[in-house]
Amino acid sequence: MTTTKVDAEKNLREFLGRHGKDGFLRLLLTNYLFELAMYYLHSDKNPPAVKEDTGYRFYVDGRERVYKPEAIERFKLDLRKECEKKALLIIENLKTMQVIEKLDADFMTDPKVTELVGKAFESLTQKT
Amino acid sequence: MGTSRAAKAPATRKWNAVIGTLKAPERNANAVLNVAFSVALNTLPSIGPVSAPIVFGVSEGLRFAIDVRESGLDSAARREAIRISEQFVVPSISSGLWDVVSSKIDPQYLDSPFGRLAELAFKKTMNQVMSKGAEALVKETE
Repeated sequence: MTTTKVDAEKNLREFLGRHGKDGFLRLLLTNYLFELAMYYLHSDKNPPAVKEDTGYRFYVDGRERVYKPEAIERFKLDLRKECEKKALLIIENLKTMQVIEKLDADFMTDPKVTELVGKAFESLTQKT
Repeated sequence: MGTSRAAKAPATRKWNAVIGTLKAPERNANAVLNVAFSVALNTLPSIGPVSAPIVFGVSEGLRFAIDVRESGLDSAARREAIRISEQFVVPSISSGLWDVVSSKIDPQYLDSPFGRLAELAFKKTMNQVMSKGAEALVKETE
C-alpha cells in the first residue's frame, strides 16, 4: 500500500518522538556504513598487490564451496550489526565533541566543526 | 566467477588480510569488517571524502524531520522547494531532499563512490522512516 502524505508526516513525527535525533543518526550511519562495507567487500582484484577478488570470496568459501543463500543473508545481517556498533561509536564521539547538537544546522561551513566530524569518523578504523 | 563491474581493491598487500578473513572456515563479521575498514580507510589520504557526503545528509535529513514535526509536511517541503508526487509520496520527498543535499556538497565528494553510497543510504533511511515510523529502527536492529 502506498504511503500518503498524512502517513509520511505521522511516521516522521513518531520516529523522532520515539528515537530522537540520535535514532535518526544511528539508522542513517548504519545504512551508510553497510553500503560502504558492501562496496569494499565486493571489490575486484588489483594486481600485483591483490590477486583475489573479495566479490568472489563473499559468496565462495576457502574450500571453493558456494555459501547457501541463507548463510549469505545471515552474514549480511551480522555485518549490519557490526556496522551499527561502529555507527554508535561515531555518535558517541560526536557527543563527546559536543557536535551532535549542531547537526541540524548548516554546521559544515565551520571548518572547526568539519575537522571534529572528520575526527569522529576516524574511529571507523578502530576495532569494535 | 568475475566481478568486472566492481571497484578495484585498495592497492595494498594488506587487503589480502581481508580476503583471509573472508576465507576463514568460520568467517566472522566482526573480524571481516574491522580488517576491511582499517585497511581500506588507511589507504585514503584523509577521512573527509568518506564523512562529508553523509554528514551533509544527516544535517539536511534532521533539519527536514524537525521542520515537519514543528510546521507540518507541506510547509517543510515548500520551504525546501520539494515537489511531492501524489502517487509516489515517500520516494519523491527522499529524492527531492537529496537534491537539496547534493547542492551543498563539493562536487568532488558528490561524484565519488562515497557520494553515491551516501545517496543510497540517505534515500533508504528517509524511505524507511517515512514509511515505517518508529519501527524503522526497531526492525533494522532486530
